[in-house]
Amino acid sequence: MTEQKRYNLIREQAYQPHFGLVHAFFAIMGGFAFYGPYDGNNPIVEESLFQISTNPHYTAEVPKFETLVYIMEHFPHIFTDITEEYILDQAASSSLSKALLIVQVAWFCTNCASRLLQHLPLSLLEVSTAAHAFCTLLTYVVWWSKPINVAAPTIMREKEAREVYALLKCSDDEYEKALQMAQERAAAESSTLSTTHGSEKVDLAAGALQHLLPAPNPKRPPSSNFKNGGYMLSLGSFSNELLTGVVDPEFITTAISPILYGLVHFLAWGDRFPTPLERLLWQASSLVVTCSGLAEVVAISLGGWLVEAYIISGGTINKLMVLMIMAIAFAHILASGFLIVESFRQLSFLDSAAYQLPSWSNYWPHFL
Amino acid sequence: MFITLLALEYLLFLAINERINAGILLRKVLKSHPHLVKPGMLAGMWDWIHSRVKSKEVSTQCQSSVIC
Repeated sequence: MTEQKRYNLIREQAYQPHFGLVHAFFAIMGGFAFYGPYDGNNPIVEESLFQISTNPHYTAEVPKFETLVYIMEHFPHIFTDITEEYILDQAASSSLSKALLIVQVAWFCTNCASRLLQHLPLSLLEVSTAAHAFCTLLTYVVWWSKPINVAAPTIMREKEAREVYALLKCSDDEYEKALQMAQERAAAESSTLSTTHGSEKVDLAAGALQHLLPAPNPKRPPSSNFKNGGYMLSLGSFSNELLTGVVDPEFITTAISPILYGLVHFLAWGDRFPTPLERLLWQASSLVVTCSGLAEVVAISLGGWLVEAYIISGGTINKLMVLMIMAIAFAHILASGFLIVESFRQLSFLDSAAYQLPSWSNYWPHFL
Repeated sequence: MFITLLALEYLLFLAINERINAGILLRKVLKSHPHLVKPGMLAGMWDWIHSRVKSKEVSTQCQSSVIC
């Protein structure tokens, strides 16, 4: 093997494009954006990143979930050209900081567990904090590969990305023209064929379609392609629109997340309370917080079933549903508020055993 | 963001949903371009262990690397 071949092989291995969880999270949170627009045949010119905010004619557009899937199926290289290292470089948190936080939170959870095992009382504040720590721990595990605190999306402005963007922005008429042009180019086996349709958008879209042409009828991009710019890099900006199963996963997460948070509060079920009424209220609040998500899911499912079975009209059920969801959300907020307030109020009524320290968790390295 | 600070369960809900979406996107990529998918941390660990176990360069008794 010659030196040049060996060098090329090493280089290929080092820069092998790939798409992992980091890319997927970044795409889902709106991290990949196209730079437009094409109104009035405005040509896209190479500009610096700083010109986005100063030039009112240009906007960054974030693809919708279906569009992301379409791009990944047909033009994956425009995402994989942006390396994982580049994405992680923009994130404000590193694996080390996440690991340190997890160790600290895990120490607190172990501390609570060792108190229970040594029959030492847990104060309500510790129970509330344990619930928060437990949820934080789960969130960190789920978001381990997510690039957190990225301030701005990555603008894709390479030629191939602009071609894909032009294709996504095409109307039906323009798409047909672009397809025709791509077929003409493929027949002539030359991408430098002069355009006959005039528009630069069509010209660029034809360039993108050329990559798909070996297929007789290339798949058309989805009709509605871009999210509002306000959704960029915001939490939960995408819903699971593509999921079509028996049970919607969003329903499951709506039910499960309050259960995970609320269940921890049951640790204080038999705790000492200032008054019996407060104990009753704590127990009721724990129950409300735990079951609120499940109740919401049941209410929505029941409403859907009633409409499908023609028992109640759609308009009436919509009003009832809104009222029910508002009532459940209000009860949840009220119960959560009480749990927090009560956990601080109990501090004035703690018995002496609450101040004893458990021995096990002292061996765990932690910050105080 | 203020709401997510007050209601941690909502943040957990968003995190799980985002992870599900990321998983769907990865599955779609795995279907159309399997060579592009980079395995996650757990899958990478599993692949490594699996390749060690299946490898012919390990002794049959203790499954450790043979020193030549």
